[in-house]
Amino acid sequence: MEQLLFFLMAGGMVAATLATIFARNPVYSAIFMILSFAATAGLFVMLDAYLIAVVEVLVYAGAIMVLFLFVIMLINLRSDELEGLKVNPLMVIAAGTFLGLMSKAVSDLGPAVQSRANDLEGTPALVAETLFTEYAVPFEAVSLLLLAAILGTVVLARRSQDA
Amino acid sequence: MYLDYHAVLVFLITGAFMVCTPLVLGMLFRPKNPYKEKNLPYECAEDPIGDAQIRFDMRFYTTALIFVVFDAEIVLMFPWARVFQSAPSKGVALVAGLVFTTIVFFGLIYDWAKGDLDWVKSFQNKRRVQD
Amino acid sequence: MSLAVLTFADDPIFYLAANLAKIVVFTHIVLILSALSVLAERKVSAWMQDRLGPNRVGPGGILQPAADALKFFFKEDIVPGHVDKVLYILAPAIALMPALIVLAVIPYGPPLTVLGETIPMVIADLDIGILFVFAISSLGVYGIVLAGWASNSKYPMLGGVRASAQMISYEVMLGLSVVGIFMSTESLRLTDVITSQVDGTWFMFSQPIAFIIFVIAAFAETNRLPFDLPEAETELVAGYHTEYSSMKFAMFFIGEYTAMFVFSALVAVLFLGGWDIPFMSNADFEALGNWGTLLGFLSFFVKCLAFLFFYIWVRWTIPRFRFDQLMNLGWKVLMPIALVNVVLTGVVLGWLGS
Repeated sequence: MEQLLFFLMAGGMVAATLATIFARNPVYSAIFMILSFAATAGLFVMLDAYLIAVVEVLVYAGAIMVLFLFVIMLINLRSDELEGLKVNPLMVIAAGTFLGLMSKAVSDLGPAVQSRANDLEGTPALVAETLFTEYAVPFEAVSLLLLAAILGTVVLARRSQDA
Repeated sequence: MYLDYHAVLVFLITGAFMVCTPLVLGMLFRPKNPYKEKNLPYECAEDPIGDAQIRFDMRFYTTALIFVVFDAEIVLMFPWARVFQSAPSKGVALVAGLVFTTIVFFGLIYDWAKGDLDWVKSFQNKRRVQD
Repeated sequence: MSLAVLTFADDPIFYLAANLAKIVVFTHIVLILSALSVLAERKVSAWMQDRLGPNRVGPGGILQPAADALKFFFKEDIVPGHVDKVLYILAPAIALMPALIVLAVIPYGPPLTVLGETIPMVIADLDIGILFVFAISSLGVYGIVLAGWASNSKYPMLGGVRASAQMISYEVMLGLSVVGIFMSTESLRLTDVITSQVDGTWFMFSQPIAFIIFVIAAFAETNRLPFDLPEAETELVAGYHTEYSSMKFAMFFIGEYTAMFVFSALVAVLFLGGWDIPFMSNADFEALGNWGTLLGFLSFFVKCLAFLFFYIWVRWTIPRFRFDQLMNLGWKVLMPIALVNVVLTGVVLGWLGS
């Protein structure tokens, strides 16, 4: 049962992510990405990381993807306009570097949380306690990051309005 | 605890079933006779001009970005609220939460002051941009 | 909860049967209530305008929802030629699903005892309850924005864009307003919110600011008057569902009313004590056993229906806001007030605790 669910979720995630990449219409890409996030949330639930699972849905699927959809509709590229998009060598390099970094990071982690057996319950209380004791300073730093994001928005929006 | 999420999964499947059944079942009974006028976009009997999938206004994008930031902030506020009372010192906990929210709120205040929260850009604002 | 709650390990078959029964019963109660609230909407508006309202189908028009449903089944389902077919068909389902799934975490009453086993009257009693509600209801915006986009027509597009901007803005106020409640309950679980209110005061009285903000945001989230700009019929025909007909239109309609019920239930759970009856404590409910469950169940639904009535009442009382007024109210008025409320709650709790 557990295994079946895992493969359903993981398979769904991979399939949705592939569909995101190969969909011809950017709006469909966005929809598939939401599906992929939902499947990821399911995987988090299976790892007992409930808070992370709900944050995945709330922030990624519910907020960031709305922004993505807005951007897609804001730019409103037709698929024939996208046809002419050439693959830039820089893109390949950037993607390759990112892939390398990610695989290094993942392999450094080693055999991570393998099952729910190690009773690491991601309940809100537990996460919150660690967040506000051990990681209090990074937590406050996050607010600066969010502030930078807002300021960045305003500057970008302003510039494009002036142009 | 974990099993409660199974219930959610079962609920999701039941829900999807309940949503899809009437849609599919109805197909068996419905009439289908499309004609040209029926297939036009509804514009109160006017002939439609141009494409409808217009580009969004920039303001929607700004709103969405501010929303994403505050959504992230709220997600972090709930765990904080959860442990607030059990903190060894509520004063410190309050200050920690306050510092966090105030910094994020500076962003809102900045947007406000710069007029990015104004939905209708005032004439004055437009002039300032042009200068 | 002091009682031993039935788990899967105790008795798998009984557990599954109980859960399935709960799912079927609760979803049907809610869907039937949504259908009846459509009728109630028309009846109440008729009374308020000194008309009769629907009175032809069944005694006093009580069968009107059934007649409507039949009509939805047998009407032609037009899929216009200019739409994006897949998303056009998916959008109504995407709009209805989130509203339905949120029902999973709403506690409908105190636990029920059947054959010596305690069954909580909530489908999934998650310890992240409130965040689950916000997470799932935040997905509701997709149904509307995709309906607007896939319709490829001007009115739906404008309605969809407006709706999404409105819903995401008020989602922030919705979340921020209730932080104060969870500071005092020390749990994100919705049943704990209720039990703390059964023994204490309702949050409507101890968190009045949060209550007002939450109610305003609930109206905006469900696109109801005075915030029904996405479907403002005098300017946008019908907003995002202009191009929809037959069962697909019904999906949006049921979705809207289910969402109204969900928010009524949330107001009842968070601010009106859920299944609480004044002057009764948790011990009283437990002492009454299954009668306590029934009483709590009734009390919960009375509160929901009262709030649904409030929805309709407001609709025929307050005129529509302008879009810039809506955005100003959200970001410039409610947002700072909600934050002040959180700070005030923190100060009061800290002062009381020390």
